[in-house]
Amino acid sequence: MIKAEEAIVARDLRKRFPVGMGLRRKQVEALKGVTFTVRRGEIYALLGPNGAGKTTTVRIISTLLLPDSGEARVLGYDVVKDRWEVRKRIGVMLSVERGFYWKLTARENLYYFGRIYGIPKRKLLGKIEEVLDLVGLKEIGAEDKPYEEMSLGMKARLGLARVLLKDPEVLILDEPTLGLDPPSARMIRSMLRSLADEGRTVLVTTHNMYEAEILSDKVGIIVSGRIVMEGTPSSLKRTVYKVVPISFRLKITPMADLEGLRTSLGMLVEAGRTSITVNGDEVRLRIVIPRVEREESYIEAVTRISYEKGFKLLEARVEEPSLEDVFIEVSSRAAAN
Amino acid sequence: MPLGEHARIFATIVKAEASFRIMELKRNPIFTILSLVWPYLMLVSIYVLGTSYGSIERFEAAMKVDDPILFLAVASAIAFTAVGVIDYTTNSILWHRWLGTLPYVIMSTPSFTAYMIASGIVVTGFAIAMNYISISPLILVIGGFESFYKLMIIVGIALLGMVPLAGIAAVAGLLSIIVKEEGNVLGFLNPLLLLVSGVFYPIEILPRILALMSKLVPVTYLVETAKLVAAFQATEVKIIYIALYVFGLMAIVYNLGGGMVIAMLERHAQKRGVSM
Repeated sequence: MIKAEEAIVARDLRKRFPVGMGLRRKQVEALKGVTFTVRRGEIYALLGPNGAGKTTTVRIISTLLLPDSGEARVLGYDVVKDRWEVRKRIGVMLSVERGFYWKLTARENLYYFGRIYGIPKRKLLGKIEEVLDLVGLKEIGAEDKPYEEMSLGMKARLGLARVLLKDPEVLILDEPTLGLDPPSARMIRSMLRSLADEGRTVLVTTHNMYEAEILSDKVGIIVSGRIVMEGTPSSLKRTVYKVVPISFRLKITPMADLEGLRTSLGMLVEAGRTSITVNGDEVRLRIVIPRVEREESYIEAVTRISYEKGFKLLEARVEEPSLEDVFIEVSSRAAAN
Repeated sequence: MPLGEHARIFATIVKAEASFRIMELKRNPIFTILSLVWPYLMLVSIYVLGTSYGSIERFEAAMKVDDPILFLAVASAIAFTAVGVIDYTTNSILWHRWLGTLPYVIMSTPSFTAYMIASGIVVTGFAIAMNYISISPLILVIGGFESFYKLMIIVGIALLGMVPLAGIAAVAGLLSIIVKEEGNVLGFLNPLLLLVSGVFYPIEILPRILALMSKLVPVTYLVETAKLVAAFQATEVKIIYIALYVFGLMAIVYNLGGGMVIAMLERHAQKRGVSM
């Protein structure tokens, strides 16, 4: 039973592909039971290394590939049995670099795809102008440029324009910023965020940790055909990292007592969880505390001790592990298992 | 899904593909020029193959035609028309695959075969139109209005002759996606069809096995009909009707057979996935 707020549901998706020929033919298991749920209006990032099963998952959900077993539903429709209902409601972008006619312009390409998707001509002409505007192709004067003369950034914008042409409730994008320059990648990300804010659901695959971290509401880390961890970027960090590092920069004054500082900190923080480095007239101090404890109280305590021992606090910063740290940690755990 | 909805989607794709072909002709002048020149190259190759065992008179006698030049022009047009439906349907799918547009066009219909046939009809229709536009001046110059009139009759017959091949075209299109060496499907099928259909050589001089195969190929009857029309003797009009009946019968048999295989192949293609 699918809940009304669930836009995409994948349950135990499995897929094998034949590799090789004759006696050397064998089956490679691309998906080993992928399960995840994307809520309406959410941006869900499938994060994983190359060959992890991201594209296979996306193709199954886009109705382009049949799973061997398991079930996937989009807006309540089964991707195998009701594929036409699914196709009508999704917008898909599978590659940044290809997928258009090289000789036709952006506008002509959109016209062709709009017609093939059954959008009435009059409505389509207006819609083309709207999406060209929205993705910024008009702004950079690329709407009448042949596809073969476009930069990768322009091609990505055009790809997104085609997705939007159908006004889809669910957007499925496979590595939409792969190979793009930073401004184009930022533009695509900001577009996706606005679309999600409008209530559309976005499923995006990426191996760009930064992108997954800043863009998505929820991340599923996929390794070797399995979702090994799922949650919001911050919850993933919390789950994986049980400790929080806090770093401080202290100014050495004439009354400074470095040994006194060490002794006091030793009473505050567990042994082996403090490091002090002197750099000119500055001291760099790093403490590591359990995640369950409040960082603010430690910052207050270190500030007080520093003042008492003749140091002046210049900066205090709670260090967050990046999603990349999480990904590396999770991937290595999965590989070890 | 109701039949009317299928028909609506089919018509939508036909219209979209037609608008695309027009845009393509405008945007790609080299392609347009080549499309107009190509039938003449085909004509030359049929002439060279046909006369490789003797003079034009020998060819005339061997092919049993009164007007060998007209026959050559018509045969090359038939070669394009009849085999074209397989060639263009399959090529259009491969072309989508190479461009990376295949997943996007597949998603435009409930069934991949529906797209393939709708698109194949348009691509073939455009190719045929280009061929006949290209070859008509030659016919007019050589044979005058009477030959041109005959050509138009043959165009009609050739279009009918395409129908039995639509099922085969869809099967070939799906095979081209499923098998890895997709080019070989076409490379094998089309020359064989042309060879056994009597476009290049009379069927009588073909090896026995190929002569037998020729009886099962709709293009054969098309070529025979073209010969009759080229001769244009009133007594032979009845035979043209017989050929048309054969087309009709073959259309039913081949398309029903094709339909059964298509469902299986489409599922297989979806299991394998569509590569970009």
